[in-house]
Amino acid sequence: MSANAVRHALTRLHLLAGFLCLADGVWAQPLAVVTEQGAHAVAMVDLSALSVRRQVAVGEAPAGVAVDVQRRRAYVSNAEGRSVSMIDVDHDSVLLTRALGAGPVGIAVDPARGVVAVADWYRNSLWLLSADDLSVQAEVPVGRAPAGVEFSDDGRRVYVANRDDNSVSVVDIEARRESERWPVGDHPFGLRLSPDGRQLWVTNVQSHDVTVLDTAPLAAAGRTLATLPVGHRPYCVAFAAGRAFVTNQYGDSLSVIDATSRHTVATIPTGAYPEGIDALGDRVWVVSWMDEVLIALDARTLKVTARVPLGSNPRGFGRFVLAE
Amino acid sequence: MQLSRLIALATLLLPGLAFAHGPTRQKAVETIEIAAPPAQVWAMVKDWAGMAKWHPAVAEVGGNGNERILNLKSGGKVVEELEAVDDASMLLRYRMKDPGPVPVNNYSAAMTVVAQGGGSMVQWKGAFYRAFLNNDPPPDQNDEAAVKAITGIYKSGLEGLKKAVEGK
Repeated sequence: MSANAVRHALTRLHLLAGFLCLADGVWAQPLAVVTEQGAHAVAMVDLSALSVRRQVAVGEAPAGVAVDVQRRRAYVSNAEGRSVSMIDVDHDSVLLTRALGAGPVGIAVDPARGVVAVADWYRNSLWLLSADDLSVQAEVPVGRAPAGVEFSDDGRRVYVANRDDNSVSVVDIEARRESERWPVGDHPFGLRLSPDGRQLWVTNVQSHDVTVLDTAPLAAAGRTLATLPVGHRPYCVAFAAGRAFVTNQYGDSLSVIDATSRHTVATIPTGAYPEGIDALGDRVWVVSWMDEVLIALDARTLKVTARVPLGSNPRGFGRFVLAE
Repeated sequence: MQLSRLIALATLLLPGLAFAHGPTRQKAVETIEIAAPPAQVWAMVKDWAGMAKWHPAVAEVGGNGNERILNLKSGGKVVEELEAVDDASMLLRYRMKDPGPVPVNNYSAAMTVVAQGGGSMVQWKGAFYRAFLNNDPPPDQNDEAAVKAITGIYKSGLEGLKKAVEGK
């Protein structure tokens, strides 16, 4: 069973358990940890109450975020602060901040193996850190201006979007080096694995499309399965209800694509300059950077169901939603 | 020429880096109320080549079609491209192709007109990065300089628009 499928099954169990469990005197609720780059903080958003329960100060200009359901933590990259913060999501507190590199931006975690991967925008490298204490295990050279980061299901590889190289680096975790580089569109930024873990969807900001890559180890016909046109300046992608949802930064919209047929289902207007996007069950959460709001969208009806005001310049770049 | 400017200029000339920027996006948002009907205000805002009629920093507007060249009174040119004009929502979107002397990178913006009270409200919102492409920017090309420059452009521009529309 792929890690992604396990994650989805656990999500459903957690959603049920959330109603029954009392931990540390606090009802466990689904949570979003949204980086507020202008506020130098993260918003801890209670997704049941639809409100920010606390704003937690982190380093300077946080951008990327990765939640760890096992350790009950969130890892945040502070782009101008040149550091990574580790947050306890049950106590809304910063446990540790580690100075790191020149420009940490994209960040991801593999909870099962305890590895945090951080793309360094200026050093053109990928940092591999221990999830326990953020100690540096390796720095792996990748392409220019690396942005989005995503682990493979088995945790053996990390995919990195190289914005200024129009490619995706595949980093072998054990060997601690780049093993492959796959061409994509113009200025890739965000990327995410399909729920079955077999495809990598990459948003290309300047070619206004999504590259769908085959991640199978021996892909014979070439990596690119499809190039799908979307809106203006696509930034990030998430999956829910059998669909891919792409934030179009200049289009102020979401492109909704059937993940199997790869046909566009709809283009939905959303807040201005949408960027970070994540999903929980059949709900998609979109961060509108310009309007400074977290928007909930029903992945089936495509209706907006809630809006939660956020602090300054919110980005939510990464996986920012926790089931409980 | 200052070394930092030379480096910034050199990186702009390198292929593939013309649109590069740092990791921290900035915004500026300014509004103004104008004592005139929204349709009248919108007519002036959407006049893409007519910016010299209302912005005090612009001497003359050149270019054609969706591209305009703002010849600034202080010297220098800014080149902008129109992205969208929506009469129904009175929204104009555009981006800078070349910021010229303005200390920003990757700039895009929107102007909207809405009815307010008995008149109108105009909102000007922009997203951009600082001019310096790397870490440790010099003071004239850092985040603060970028925000200050755009805020100044918006404030003076909206005041100029108000005067032009209200006929003062």
